[in-house]
Formats: sequence, C-alpha cells, structure tokens
Amino acid sequence: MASSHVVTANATLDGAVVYLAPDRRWTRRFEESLVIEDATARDALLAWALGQEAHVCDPYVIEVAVGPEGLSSKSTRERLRAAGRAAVLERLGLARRGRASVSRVQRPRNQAVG
Amino acid sequence: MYRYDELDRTLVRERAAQFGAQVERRLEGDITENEFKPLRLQNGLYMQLHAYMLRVAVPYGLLSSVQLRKLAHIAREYDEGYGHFTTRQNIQFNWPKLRDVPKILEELASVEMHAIQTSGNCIRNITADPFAGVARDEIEDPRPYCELLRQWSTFHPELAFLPRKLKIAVTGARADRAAIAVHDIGLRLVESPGGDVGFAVLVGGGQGRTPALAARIREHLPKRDLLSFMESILRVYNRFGRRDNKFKARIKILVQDLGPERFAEMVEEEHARTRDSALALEDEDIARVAAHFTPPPYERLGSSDTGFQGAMLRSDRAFARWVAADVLDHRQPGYAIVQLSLKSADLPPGDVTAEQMDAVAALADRYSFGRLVVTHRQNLVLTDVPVRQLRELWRELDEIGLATPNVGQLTDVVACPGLDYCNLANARSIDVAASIRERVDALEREASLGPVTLNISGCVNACGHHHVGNIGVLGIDKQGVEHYQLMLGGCSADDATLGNVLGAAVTGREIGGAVERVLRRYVELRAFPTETFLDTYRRLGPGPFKEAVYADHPKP
Amino acid sequence: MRIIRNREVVDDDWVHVADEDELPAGHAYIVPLARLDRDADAVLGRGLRLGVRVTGDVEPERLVSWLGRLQLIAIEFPKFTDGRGYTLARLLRERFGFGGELRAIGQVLHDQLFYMERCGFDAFELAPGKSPERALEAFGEISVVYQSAADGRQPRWRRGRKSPGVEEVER
Repeated sequence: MASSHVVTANATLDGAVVYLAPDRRWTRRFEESLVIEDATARDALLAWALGQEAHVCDPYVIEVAVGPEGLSSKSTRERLRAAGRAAVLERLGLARRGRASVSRVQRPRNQAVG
Repeated sequence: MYRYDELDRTLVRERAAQFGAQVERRLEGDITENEFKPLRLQNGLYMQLHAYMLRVAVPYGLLSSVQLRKLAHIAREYDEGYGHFTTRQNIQFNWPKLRDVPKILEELASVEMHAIQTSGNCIRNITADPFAGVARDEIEDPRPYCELLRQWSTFHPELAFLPRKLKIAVTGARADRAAIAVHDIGLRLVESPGGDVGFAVLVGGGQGRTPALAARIREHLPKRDLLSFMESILRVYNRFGRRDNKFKARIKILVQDLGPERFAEMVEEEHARTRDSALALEDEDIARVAAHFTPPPYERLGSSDTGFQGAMLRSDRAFARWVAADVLDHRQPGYAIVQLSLKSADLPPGDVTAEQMDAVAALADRYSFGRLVVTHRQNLVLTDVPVRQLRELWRELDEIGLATPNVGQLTDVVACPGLDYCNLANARSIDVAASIRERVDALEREASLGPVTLNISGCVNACGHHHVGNIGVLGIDKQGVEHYQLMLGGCSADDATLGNVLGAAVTGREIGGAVERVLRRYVELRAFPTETFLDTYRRLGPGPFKEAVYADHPKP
Repeated sequence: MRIIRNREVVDDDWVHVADEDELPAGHAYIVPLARLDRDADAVLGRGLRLGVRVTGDVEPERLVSWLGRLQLIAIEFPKFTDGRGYTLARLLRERFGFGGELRAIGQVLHDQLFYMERCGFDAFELAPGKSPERALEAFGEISVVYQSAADGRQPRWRRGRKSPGVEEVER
C-alpha cells in the first residue's frame, strides 16, 4: 500500500508550524494539507519548498494516514505540531485569558493559632 | 553586581544592530537559512516545535530588579506573557517573532543584558553557585572571576566556531552548588595549605548521551593564570576536538580519547607559551572587577535579631513550613537567604508570569537590595533578606504563588521544556512532572520524604540534568510512543554520581506510579526518619527499588 | 577575482595553482603545501612571490621552516563552521611571527570577517556568489573588543592599570 505524505515546515517570520496546501500555499491548519500520493510529485514539491526560504525554514516530508476522521500523523511529535500553539498554551495552563490572576485572596492560608 | 561602562554598552548596542542587519539579509535572501543559523544561534535564537525561542543570558544567574522588570515587559509585549528559567541560570522566551528579535535585543541592551553566545558552538553562559557572596561556607566570592571569564569569552574571535558548545561552572564555596563535576570545565576556588587561594580546574564533565564526571587537570592554578590557562584549554579543544561526528564532539570525548594525563600535558605545553601574554591577570585587574561585587549596605543587626522568633514559628505552621524548606542561613548576622520556588502546581517548572516578575522585582527592591539570582534548579533567590522581615515577605510571596514550601524536596522538580516546545525532544516532560507531583503529594504529607531531587529530561541531551537527579527520568521514543526511563542515585554535589537505570522504560501513564512506588519503598526501608533518599539508595543499592517498581509489573 | 585586502576591495594579483599544474613564471602564485614539500626547488625558483595554501588543521610546525620564503599563506575554510583556521592564524602571527599576507579562502562569509581579522587575517576571498563590497560593512559592525587577540588590542580589564603591565610577550 502506497504511503501518503504531506510537506511541513516552520514559518520564517514567527516559527509557526505550517503545511503545504494545494496551489503551493502554506497553511497553519493541518487538515488543509495537500496529501501527496505520488513519490515523484512529493520529491518535486519538497525541492520547491526548500527554495522558499523567505516564507519557510527547513521543510521536510511526513507520513500521514487518511482515515474516516480525516488526516492524522503517526508520530507524537507530529501530532503535537499539528495541534498548534494555542493547544500547548491551553494544556500547560499558560493561555493568557485563562491564567489565574496574581493575587490569590481566595486561597485559604493555614493560620493555625497555637 | 557588574555595572556596564561605555564599552559594554556599545558592545551590546552594536550587537543588536548587527543582528538586525543579519535578519534583514536573511529575509531578503542574501544569506541562506544554513548561513543564518549559526548567526542566530550565537544570539540565542532557536527554532523549536511551534515557534522561535530566545534564550537571554543571565551571567552567573545574577539579576537586578530593573532587569527583571524589563524581562516582564518583553514577556508581555513580544511574547505570551511568561518566561522560563533554565538549568543554566538563563531565561527563555518561547514565542518571539523573528522581526521582533533585534528590537528585543535593543531593549535588553538598555538594561545591560543580551543573548550573546547562549547557543552555538562557542563558550556559553558562565554559571555559578547561586549563593555566591552570601553563603556561610564561602571561601571566596567566585563572581568577579565569572565576570572576567564572561568578558574574556564574549566575541572571542578565535573560539567562535568550536567543535561543539562549551559550558563553564564556577564555585567558591566548600560545598559545590554549581555542579562543576558535570560541566565541560569546572572551576573551584580552593585554599592551598599555605592559605593562598587559587583554582582547582576540572575538564570533561558532561551529561547527554555519554555522561561523564570531569577530570581534575590542575590542583591549584594561581589567579594570575586563570584566563591564559582557560585559553590554553580552549585552544587545545579547538585544534583537536572531533569535528566529524556531532555526537562525539564535546570536550569530554577529547579528554577521554587522549586520557586526562595527556590532555593535561597538552594544555600545560600550550600554557607555558601563553601564561605571560596579555592575558596574565594582575591583582589590580581582579580588584577592579571585584569592586563591583562588594556586599550591600547591611544593617548592623544584633544577635537578638538572628533568632527566628520561635514563638511566631510555633503559632503559624504554614510560615514555619516555608522557613524550614525555603529559607537558609546567611553569613551576615540578621539576614537570611530566601528561595522562591517556581514549582507550584499552577505553572510548568521554572515558568514565571510577567505579573509575577514585576511583583518579584518590587519585592527585591523592598527586601533584598534590588538583587536576585536564578538557580540551576530553576528557582529564584532573594539573597539578602533581613530576618525580621521574613514573615512580611512570606505573605507577599504567598499572594503571588511563589511561596511553595518545597525547595530541595521531591516536588521541586527540574524539568526541561520537553516535546511541548523542543525540536530535539523525544517525549514530553512537563506533563510527567505534573503527574508525578499529583501521585506523590499525598505521600509527602504522610511521610515527609525529606531532601530528594527529581530531574526530568525529554531526550538524551539531558537539559533537565537527569543523570544527576536522586531520581532521574529520561523521555525516550519507543516506536512512536513516549516512554520514560527511570534512573536512581544521581547527585551533582561534591560526591557527584551519575544515576543508574533501574529497568525497562515505562509509559507516560505508568511513570507517576513507578516513582511513587520507589518512594514508598524508601519510606519503608530508611534506617531512621531523616535518612535521605540518596543515603538509603547508596546503602541498599537498586535491588529493593527495582523490585518495588517491576515486581508486579513484569515487562515483556 | 576581487578580494578584500586591508579593508579594501582590490583585484587579486595572486594566482592559485593546483597541485599538478604548471607554475606560471613571472607571477605571484599560491601552491598547496604538499607541492612545496615535494618540489621545493621548482616552486621556489619560478615565481615573483610565493604563497602556500593549507587547511586549518595543518600543524603549524610544518610551515615554520618555510616562513622566511613565503609572502602569503592562504588558510582554507572547507566549512565556515570549522574554527581551526582561526587558531592557526593566531599561531602564525603571534607565535611564529609571520608578517606576510594571511588570507582566508573557501567558505568565507560576511559574518566571519570581524573575527578573522582579529585573528590576524588581512585578506579575504569571499565564498562564491558573495559580494566583497557588501562584506566590507562587517568590519565596522562591532567597534569594541573585550579580549586580546592577534591585533594587538589590549583586554579591556587591563584598562586603567596603574603600571604599564606586561605586554604581549609572544611577538
């Protein structure tokens, strides 16, 4: 069974994860990636991407699976990349909106008086 | 602390402008990404999973409140409102945009800061004992020498393209709190039998793929020869270090391949020719730099102020817990060393919000002469707090979530950023830190686990220093799934030891339970309640712990 | 080709000669060190001026006996990340007192020139496709230095010394 591939990179201006979409456009959304079945086409697109340094850094090719729930990556690393920046901040409790305020007046302090 | 003069200010301003020009050339296509990469690395700018990452230098961990406020501002204006303190006493911003970095460097330059040589195959930040200048067991303050080494190594024209990075740590105390045995070069101020102070020089320590403890190549180097000797070591490394294989290019490999005696011989041969060069240090050179590190204007506090007000401690258990864990004795009567734990349950280890940074800057001004220090265990220190103000300070720290009473304990976890951020990582580390905390919190309350260090690295590069944790966790990739290897018995202090792998790697779901079982077994087996985990492990060996983790959980 | 010499862009008056090529009489030419070792009489007899080409890992001792006859040493950087050429340059200048032209060739880029000059290089052949005119900007980018190198500038921590102090002994 032939494998499917996608070209990915980091955006030069802000380092965000990007994927090559149809029409040689770069997208930040994994689900918009151009899925490449043909090995020759894949190599040609990668070679083209390597020359796009004004837009992207260090492009490379990843293997993907196309399933009933859409596109997915095999490796943990690529799944984390595809989830994007907001997901990281959210999961680590660092998203600005949700962050606990500095003052903790609600937190009970243990003030046992002897 | 060291105050810049016109030369220093010019250097950092020009550097910021130079990088601005390099960024423009990159964006215009005059230089390729491959040509740009070493240039941006020499300004501490990495490309990571989701964004660039800027590593700002904090020379030997010392910060002023003015600088910390600027870091808060940078976090707010150019980043996502927080920063991360590292195991080399630096700070990292995880989300800068490329075009903003020259502006960030300019802002840093305005407060005497920079990101020079925090990455790349060059001499990196010089790290030191975080209690330099205030520790009771100090022989001599290492900071003037750290500053001299910083100046000697900054833009050193011969040493900008070494085979690999080079990390230096310096200690001036009887106890080593700078982990010199696991650095490329470790320096220790020592007293000769005659009473004069010089340096013991260690070379070839390191963690990573092939961890090693450094070899001592000089017992007592006179201060005069510090820079010429260092230059000699670096020149031998630059000439003969391997360049054919990135994983065999550190100085420790050269020391091992040649053998420490032959390596030392080559350094001494080179040094014979450099020791009388312009690098020779005179007493007045040292004195001039040391003048930047004189003690702050301490109040003369009598012995009645030096007690910890016993009645107060007895009546307020939360305050007492904090004092017991986070506060240390100071060499100056009436003062204390206060550690700010950056290991609460709210944020990843070592992370601080911009609001917290501003608050800490104000606290430093009010309580500690406007100074603070970053430790290599990713915490902060207010080094000079009057004892009589501890309770007030504690309340303020508690308000901002920086009074967790756990420094030196299990939940004072050291963790690299791991796969959430880092391109080199094989596994996540921040989640693991959190899951272990959760499992172990209850046990800590029941049984008081005492001093135990837990270090987590997301890959073999060991930025979490897992080889020298009493409990070390290493993230690995097993067929695309994150797994974790458990190591026990590491230690970075004077009796430095590298940990031993306990058994087969476990999954992310299992690691919390595994660590908990190790600690429960420790509680069962400790000879007396205050025998430390490390001592118990050294006494009994891995056997009982291996059994505790794996006996009911056989791996295929 | 156009090269940088003493911070100016000039036409190169030297000729690089490959190991097996005929030596162009009446020219200033640069030969590989192996050829000089092998064929000294021929090489020394024919040119106006003589230069030798080495890579950064050459042992400086191999050059010492030739220094008096050389007007130029070209140190090749096969990759710009190979830092050995910087040490070699300093040793040739500071330890062996070489006073002729010290030229950096190979993968020489704008952003290495400042360091190279401080190590004793006074001439540069930029990597193919790189403009020497634009590269001149490199020399002005950082005007201050912290430490001593081959250029005679004093370490900044010696400034304000009361006594004259020990000057560089190696020259």
